Amino acid sequence: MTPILECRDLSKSFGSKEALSQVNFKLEPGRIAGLLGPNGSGKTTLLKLANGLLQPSQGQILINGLAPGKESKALVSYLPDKTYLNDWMRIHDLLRFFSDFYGDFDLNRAYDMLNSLELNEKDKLKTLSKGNKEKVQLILVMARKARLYLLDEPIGGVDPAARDYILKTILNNYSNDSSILISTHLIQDVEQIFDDVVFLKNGSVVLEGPVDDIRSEKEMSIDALFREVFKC
Amino acid sequence: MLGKLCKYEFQSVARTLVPLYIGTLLLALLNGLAMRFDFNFFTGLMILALSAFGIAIFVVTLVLIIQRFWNNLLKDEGYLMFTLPVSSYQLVASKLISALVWSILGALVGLLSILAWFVPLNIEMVAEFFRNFSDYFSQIRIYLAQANINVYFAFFRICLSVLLAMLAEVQMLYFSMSVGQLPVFSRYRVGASFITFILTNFVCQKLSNALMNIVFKDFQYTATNDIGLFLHFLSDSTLSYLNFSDPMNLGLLLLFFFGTGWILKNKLNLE
Amino acid sequence: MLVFDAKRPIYMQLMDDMETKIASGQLKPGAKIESVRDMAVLYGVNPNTVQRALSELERSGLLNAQRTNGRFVTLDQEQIRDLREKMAAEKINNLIKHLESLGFNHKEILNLIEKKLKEMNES
Repeated sequence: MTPILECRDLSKSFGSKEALSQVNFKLEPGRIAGLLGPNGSGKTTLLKLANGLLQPSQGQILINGLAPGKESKALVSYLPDKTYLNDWMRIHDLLRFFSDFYGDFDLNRAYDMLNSLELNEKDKLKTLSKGNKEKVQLILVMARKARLYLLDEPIGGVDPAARDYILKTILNNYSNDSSILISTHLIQDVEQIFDDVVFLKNGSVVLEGPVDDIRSEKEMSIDALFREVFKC
Repeated sequence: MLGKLCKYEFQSVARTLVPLYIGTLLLALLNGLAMRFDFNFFTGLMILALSAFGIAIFVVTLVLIIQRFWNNLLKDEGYLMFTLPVSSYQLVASKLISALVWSILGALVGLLSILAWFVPLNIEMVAEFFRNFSDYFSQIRIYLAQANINVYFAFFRICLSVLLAMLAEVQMLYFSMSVGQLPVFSRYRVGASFITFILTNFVCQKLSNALMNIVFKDFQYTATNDIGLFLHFLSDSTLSYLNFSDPMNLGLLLLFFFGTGWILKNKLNLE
Repeated sequence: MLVFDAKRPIYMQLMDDMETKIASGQLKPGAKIESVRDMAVLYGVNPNTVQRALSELERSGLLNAQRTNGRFVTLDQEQIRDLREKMAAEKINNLIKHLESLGFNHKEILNLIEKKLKEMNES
């Protein structure tokens, strides 16, 4: 079965700075994986490469066997770690925008999520609080039935109740042929939903594999392991 | 997909330009009304205001063309636009098409606002004005035809050339901005774009001059007092020039279009 | 959403939770189990983890899978009784060991338990 995401000797440099170095890993369909590492370890760079927002310096990154491009972008639903939406648009304008460009966008699902999170579709984005803006962005990403979800710090800026909701939504989106890659440093809250984890340190993979194997081998939680591996 | 991109482009720009258009047309109507009375300070002020609006349309359109490209593609919104299932060429094309359409609309509104001036005037006066105008126009047309100049064709041709030159210039703007966002200029994005634009224009100008010297090497002008001959000469030389500059502008347009698309596809550097 | 002890494999903790529910009768014999997805959302864990736990329980015979209908608790009352007793035995074992470490002998332990039970019955 073709991995949904595959990195082959992937390297990326910005001038003299090497952000990613010889990264190799595969994400199979139907898996939820954690991309873990401190700030500056290359997580965001990796996600941007998967989206075609950056080009590799060396090596390859493949989405369902395809190099990043028009076709792969239709399969990937990306949540960046910033507010990237047009401020003057209303929520329902955004829903229509996404629904227009993405065939896999489920409008009903989006409205359900809006209701659950008590957001009004007529609101303009610029009137929303930062937390609510992030919720809207999350809804737009999760209302798609994509093959690969790339979430960059999805639970960072929200309150604990919203966090639970977000994790439930992620689990609800689960299907056998789609995968989710979550980049985060709030490991404790999410480690029980991971199938696999990848630890990135200074652009290299220092640890990767199925979570249960790692837990029984190291006899500690992923959170504790993280603290050990990335001790300052 | 390109159609959808264009649709959203239009909607985004319409928010700003349509109110401006409406304002201008209303002001023109008011101007026309004011003209029914004697000229006085108020009327003079109105005319000034209308001119200001007219200039504003031009300036705002240009600013929007630049802003839409810079803000929507090269800043945070770029995260949205470049992850859509479209090619970078489609993104650039949608901006160019939008720039073309709004420029034409702006010009039309300018024209309409002059015509709107006449609406509040009494119908008879308007009718008489148009009768006179079409008489004058026919006379001019016949006169020019004697010199082998078809007015309609000339007008159409000149409009086309102006549009083509404008599109090439806009595409050069886009190209400069995409060069400015390259990783090497990370701290001086705006400055780099600006300098690139100036350099590009400079180089194109020099090249065009060099080419003109070659193409029009054997061109001669014989002074004459005969207006007919003069007009004939004017139309010939204009046509020759346009036949030269149009393909050149088209070439530049295509060159910078593909250049811009390539840079955005392979060297995108969103912060 | 339950918070699990991240040091132990989560699928085992899920199994414990399900076994408790079956042994106590909270999940009656023959009752239908939620789908993998629903359970994943309910517990807040990865669906593959749920799948693994349920497969293990199937293997032990506590759950039966019926192709398209889903998973059901076993109808085997004896097996459930055995499970209950096994779980009780484990708890009792732990209690006895714990009290031993406090210095009580077996006779004292039995007395303590009887006294406590009497107290509970009277209230």
